[in-house]
Amino acid sequence: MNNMKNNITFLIIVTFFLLFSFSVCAQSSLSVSSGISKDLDNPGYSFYGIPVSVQWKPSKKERAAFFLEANYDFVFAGKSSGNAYTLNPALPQEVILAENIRVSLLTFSVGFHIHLYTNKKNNSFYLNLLPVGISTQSFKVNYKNYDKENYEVMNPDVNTAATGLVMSMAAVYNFHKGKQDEFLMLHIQTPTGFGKANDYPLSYKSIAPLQLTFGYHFYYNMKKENDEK
Amino acid sequence: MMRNSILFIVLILFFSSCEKRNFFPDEDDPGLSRLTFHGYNIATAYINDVPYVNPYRHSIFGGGGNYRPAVKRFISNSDFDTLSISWLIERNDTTGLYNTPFRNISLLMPVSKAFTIRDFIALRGKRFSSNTNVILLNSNVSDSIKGVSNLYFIKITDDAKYLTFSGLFDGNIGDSIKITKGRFDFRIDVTDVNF
Repeated sequence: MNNMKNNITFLIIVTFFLLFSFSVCAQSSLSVSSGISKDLDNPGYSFYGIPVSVQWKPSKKERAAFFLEANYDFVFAGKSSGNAYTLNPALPQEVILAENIRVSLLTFSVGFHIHLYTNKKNNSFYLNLLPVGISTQSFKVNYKNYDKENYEVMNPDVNTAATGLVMSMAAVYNFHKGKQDEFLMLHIQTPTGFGKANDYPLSYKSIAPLQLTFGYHFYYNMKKENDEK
Repeated sequence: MMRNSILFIVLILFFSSCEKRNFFPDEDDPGLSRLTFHGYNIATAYINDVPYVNPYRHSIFGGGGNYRPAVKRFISNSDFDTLSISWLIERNDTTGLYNTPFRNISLLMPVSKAFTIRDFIALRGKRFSSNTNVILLNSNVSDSIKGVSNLYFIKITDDAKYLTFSGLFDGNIGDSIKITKGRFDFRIDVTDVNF
């Protein structure tokens, strides 16, 4: 718990430091993207989702420009099954229940760009490295048509919520359009893990999404940048 | 230096064999643990709607853990012997004003005279109705009281060292005592059974 508090304190300090350091930068942008995602940490499940990512970049420096990112993933319910048993002689002794696992995933990260390439049309390719992020993941489990009076599920999955530190990385191709660039991003994030508090074995693990998104950069503060030039 | 060494050894002994409680609450049945098959040595049931659980054994020099069941074959003079699975129980709530009225529960079923550990493993997946089984409750203040029970061995596995078995049980003792929603998840040493 103390560790978590320390981590959060560290993250807040880093965030404020970055915010302060960017307030003097010339041009800022807000980027919004969305697309599809697939979890890489649960091979037994098909956790697909629709991610929505918002990045705020106080500077438009192409090299090592820092930014803040909020990422929410609308994950479609994962499908599985559970075996349930009863003592009631009037009922089948074993039934298989359909299991739905609904996941929500929210991540805040701090990162920076590493510019790799720009072509003649000013289209560019760069990496987003996000070494520090805090992610909260919640899993809600539901067994369909579960007769709780008569049956008991063996080794049932249960609801879980976990918050932890994550890292992520993205490869971005930027299509230069002037005031409103477009970009294509392939983004991957580490799982959070459930920590020691949860010793109960579950059939699922925390999510590590691989996201392919398309979005727009909205630039502002351009006047300030021109002034500085 | 000597004192520190002794303290270190005592601490090692204290923590070396402690097992976890492994009580994972069932949200649908307050006071009971989930039905599991992990060898957690946890057994819970309602007796007249009061949750009971096998107690945790605290030991100064290690070995702490949930009380395990005694699994025995009792030889009788009849055509069948009796398989007994018996464990200590205590109330699993602190709201009651009186002491635990029951301290032991036993599930009894008839088995052949040649019953072996292989036959026990073959009980896996079998559900026995109340016309074959007996359930016994012992209390602090009176002799055993006897009723009928349903028993279901859902899963049983064995390896060279351990016998792991999970299941469900319930029962009635007359009209006054109802045992409901019983579930167990035991792992015992194969050398602890006498068949």
